Amino acid sequence: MTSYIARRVLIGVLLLLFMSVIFFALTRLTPGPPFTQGENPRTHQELIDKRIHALGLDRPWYEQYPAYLNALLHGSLGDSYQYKKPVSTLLVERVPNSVILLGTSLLISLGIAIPLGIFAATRQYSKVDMATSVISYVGISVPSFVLGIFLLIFGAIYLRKLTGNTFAFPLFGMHRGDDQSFLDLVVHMVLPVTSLAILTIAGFSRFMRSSMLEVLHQDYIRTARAKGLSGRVVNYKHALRNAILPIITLVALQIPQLVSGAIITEGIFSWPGMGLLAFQATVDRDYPVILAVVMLVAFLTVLFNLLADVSYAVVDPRIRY
Amino acid sequence: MAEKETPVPRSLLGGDTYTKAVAAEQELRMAHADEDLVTTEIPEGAELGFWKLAGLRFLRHRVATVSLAVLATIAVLAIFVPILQGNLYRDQDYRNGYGQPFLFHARQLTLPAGIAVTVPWTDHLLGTDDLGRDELARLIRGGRVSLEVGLLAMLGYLIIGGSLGAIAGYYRGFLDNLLMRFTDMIIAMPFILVVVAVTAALGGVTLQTLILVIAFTGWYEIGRLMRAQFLFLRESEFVQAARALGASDFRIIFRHILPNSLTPIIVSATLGVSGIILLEAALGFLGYSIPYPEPSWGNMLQGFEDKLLRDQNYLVVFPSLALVTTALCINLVGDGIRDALDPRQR
Amino acid sequence: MRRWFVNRRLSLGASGLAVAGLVLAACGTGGTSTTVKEGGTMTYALDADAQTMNPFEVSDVPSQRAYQFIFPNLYQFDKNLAVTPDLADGMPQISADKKTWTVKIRKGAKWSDGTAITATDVATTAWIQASSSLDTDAGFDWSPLTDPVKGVTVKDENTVVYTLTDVFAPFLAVNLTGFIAPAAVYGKIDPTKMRTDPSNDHPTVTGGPFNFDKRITGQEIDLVANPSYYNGKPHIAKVVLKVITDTTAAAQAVINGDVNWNPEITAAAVSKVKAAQGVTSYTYPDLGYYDIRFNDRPSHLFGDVNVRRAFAYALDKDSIVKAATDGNGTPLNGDIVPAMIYYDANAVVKYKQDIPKAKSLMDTAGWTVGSDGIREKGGKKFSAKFYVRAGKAQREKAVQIMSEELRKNLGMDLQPTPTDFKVFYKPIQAGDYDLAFAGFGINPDPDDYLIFHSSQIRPENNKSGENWTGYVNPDLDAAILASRKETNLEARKKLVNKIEKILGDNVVVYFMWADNLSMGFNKVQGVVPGKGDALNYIDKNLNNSEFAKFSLT
Repeated sequence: MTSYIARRVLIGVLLLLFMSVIFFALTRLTPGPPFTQGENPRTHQELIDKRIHALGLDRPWYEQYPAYLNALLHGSLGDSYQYKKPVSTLLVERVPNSVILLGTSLLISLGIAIPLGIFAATRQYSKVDMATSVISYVGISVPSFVLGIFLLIFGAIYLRKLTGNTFAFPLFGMHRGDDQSFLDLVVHMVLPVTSLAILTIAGFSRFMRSSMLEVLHQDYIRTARAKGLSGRVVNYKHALRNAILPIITLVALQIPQLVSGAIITEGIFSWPGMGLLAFQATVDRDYPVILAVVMLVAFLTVLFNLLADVSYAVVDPRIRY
Repeated sequence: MAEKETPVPRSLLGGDTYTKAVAAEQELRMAHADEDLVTTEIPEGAELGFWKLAGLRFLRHRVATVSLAVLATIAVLAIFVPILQGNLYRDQDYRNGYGQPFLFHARQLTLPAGIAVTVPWTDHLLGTDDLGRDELARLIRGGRVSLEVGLLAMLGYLIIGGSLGAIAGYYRGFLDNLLMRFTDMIIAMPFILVVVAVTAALGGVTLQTLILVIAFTGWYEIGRLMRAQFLFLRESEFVQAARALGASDFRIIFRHILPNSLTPIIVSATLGVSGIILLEAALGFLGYSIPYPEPSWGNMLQGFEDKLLRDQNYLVVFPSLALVTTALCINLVGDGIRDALDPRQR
Repeated sequence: MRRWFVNRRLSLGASGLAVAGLVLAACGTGGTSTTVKEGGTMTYALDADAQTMNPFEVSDVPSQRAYQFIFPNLYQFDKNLAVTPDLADGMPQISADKKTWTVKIRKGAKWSDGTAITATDVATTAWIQASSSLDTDAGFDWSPLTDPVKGVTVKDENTVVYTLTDVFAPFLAVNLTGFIAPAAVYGKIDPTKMRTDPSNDHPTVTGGPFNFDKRITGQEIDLVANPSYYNGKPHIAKVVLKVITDTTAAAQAVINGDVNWNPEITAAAVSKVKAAQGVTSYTYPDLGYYDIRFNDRPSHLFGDVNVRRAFAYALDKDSIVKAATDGNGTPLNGDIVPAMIYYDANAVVKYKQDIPKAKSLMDTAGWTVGSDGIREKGGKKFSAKFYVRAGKAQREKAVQIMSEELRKNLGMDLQPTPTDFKVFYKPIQAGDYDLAFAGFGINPDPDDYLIFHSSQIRPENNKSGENWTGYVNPDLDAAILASRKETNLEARKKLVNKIEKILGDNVVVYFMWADNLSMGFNKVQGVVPGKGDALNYIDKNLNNSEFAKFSLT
């Protein structure tokens, strides 16, 4: 087992290294330099050439890469070209915002999807089952931007008219003015979290449903039933425990994505998260920011895949490596 | 939350989480295979019976059947109507944009027998857009583009993901490890960066490049699913029996394993198509959709906020409805196929 | 519409300085004195986070909107787009040969740290801007000076002298209307490291109506009233610049009163905001214009003046502009926008749509209609890429209409090519294009030198030049040079109009329109419009002394 873990860690490190090469090349080979006269034709070409030269961007990407890797290994992500400050500072400022938003919506969608899935599974092919599946599929079939704007219009504009100017959800941002309280944050989170959760409830609930069905058809559950245990005890005590494991794994594999944000929802609700930052960085060719986000997600992806595989190996002795 | 790669979380752009869930579920199921799983094995020569049975089961799934009928109607319209309409989708009347929908006027028609009748008539049933182009014609032609993107990109998923997954699962060992790590890289691939790079390199997105970009960055679900199937099936008794009888790898793969591994792939692929269609729409919203003059449901929704602000809601409602209906029907059909093909859940 | 891109292109003065101007008249019209409320917080909408608070580095609109509150201006524009002194004490004294400009600085003005604002600050600001080692995208141009250092001298604590190589008529409007920054802070920064200096994030010493307080990246920038502001302490105690990325939300926010000032309401929401109760909105002409930039080099498709004239005759400009901008644009026939005092409706050349004439001009040029309806000449099709910046909805719409019209009416095959802005200028600057939809900023005091003079043709005559058309015409060159040297307003007007005429006759470029922008105020008083209820208002780098007169209701 130890040697398996060691091997997987080594492979993980090599993989990250390889990914850094590929992503580095991808950023550098994207046409359009990070600095152009397009932004301001009055800027002298010499100045831009000088800046590009100072950053080494005029050399082929494979000659720039060693310096990047060296800095990365020394813990430096470089300075953002557009924001002109360390990328690490930007990440510290923005990542928590995205994690708060996406994490909450993940928890809420699980909180709704898991009971919904169980409910549907224990009443397979009933009208309730059909109804939950159709409704949850509607959620997944609406484009996120349409959903977001409609939530904004109803929750923040129409609701205000409806309640005679007394209540509406905020139109933008994380906080209103100087109110940095938790309650204020919650009020600001309602619309974006709803928008994100609706999109994911369907996936999780259908997953939970089939996971539960799977377990309910297992021999030991049938045995438990045959022994005269009530449906409720069987369903919730024995079956649920086994059925919920896969969804935990699925959630664990989603965690790396929390840091990368959600550009459309963040844009619509003016949420200062990573999604918008990374998108703008891509458009601007702000290489250090793009690479930092991409490599952070790559690192977490590799890490969580590793953890998932190792935990399988620990839990299930049949899996041999 | 929940999505795949940075910086554009794909499932937020579309309905990809479900595909992921299906894939993960299948993987887990394969990893924890119970003996009774072998009941999925379909004896050679019994395929017809299986598919027939599945078809019957599908038809019993009323919601799925209705969805399939709706989808078929949309597809037929999208394929044939644009041929009849010619350039109607791009003919502008830019001085008179925003023609409202459902405006009828009386029109005299002369029937063959020489009888004149007055009928309610409209030149543009669903109105016209900001440049005075017929909204209905654009909607139908846009549907063709959207479905084309969805189906062709999915074909790409199946070709790339299917073959890589099959190789990894069948040959295992080093090759498997290599391909799976490659898959990890694709998962971490920043989709929007690829889109921006390709757009900048080629001077704009075209239908073909859009399909290729989506296919090359999104095949991994199918790949992982295929691998899980092959890993499991190559150890099953009927494959071992075939091997003992001296069947070649080629024969084992194409004659024995592949037909038996299709169930979850078909389901995942069906659901994936709706994800791709929504992804194309989201790219349109971000401004990376297919350029003028070709319409797609995605680029018809480009700048839709402006249309709402101008109270030209119909220009948002029609393409949104088309998108939601199509995606919903595809998802429900996928769900139906899944229940029909998977007897364990009976 | 491509979303959430920071629009980095500023409205530029014809020769460089991010231009100024305001046009908010003083408060209290008609003699009725409104009760001025002291204190309160004014919220202002930014459509993206400011990338820097260092005025030497600003090249994006949100940053400029943010720093305009906190740095003083030497001169600024009034409601008639005339230059008026702010930090300067009176108008500059100009020597008889018009090459030496002496500017007096107000006495008693102070920075936020209590030190006096002196001639050294004014001169240092110019030295930094003129320094060839300054690493910036802001695009300062001090080339009229004899020398970037010796051309600006401090005569005494309150007097600065500028020495010019040659007479440069727009010097005041172009070079003296910008911000002034404290020498004690910015003079100490190595110009090559200006881009990454920590003051970019948190300015320490300021001198405008408001002082920097704090900033939460991606969310807001907080400013507080400057009690020692030289025009008097502002009535408003605090300004919060809020980042609102969504246009619907930003428009609704000013209607609700969640923000008090939205400087640029998205065109689609203008009528909604105008109709809203409690919101005062103003429409102001943007000092900038759009045109179709042709490649006028003889070897290219549009190198023949007959082809360009055919292009002009084939289109119904007014209708196209109306459709593309939903009525929020003023069609132009020259690069002088109607808001400027140099505008003369009779001087410009108008091409009324005349399709038969357009067709015959194409025939004259030797382009005949081929079997597929597309014109050809010597086996070569009239086919070109029509570049336009991707994500600019109005421009893309105009390009869609024009290419469809020209295909139908004239047999030109122009393929609209929406292009990522990072690569948009590449073929254009290389002279390797046929036509492109371009946008330009202008100074109220016009100077066409950089854009139309043949010495600025890039890449042939100037590596950094901005004249992409490649058009060479000695008459035009002479008129441009003469206009730069003419300081008499009426005489200068005539020369400017002559330039317009040459540009129009030869269709050097095809002028499209100037934007009319709208801003909305909610619960803010003291904002007084000029003639016709229009704020002749360049929102960027405002006449910020007016901000001190605003108060909340």
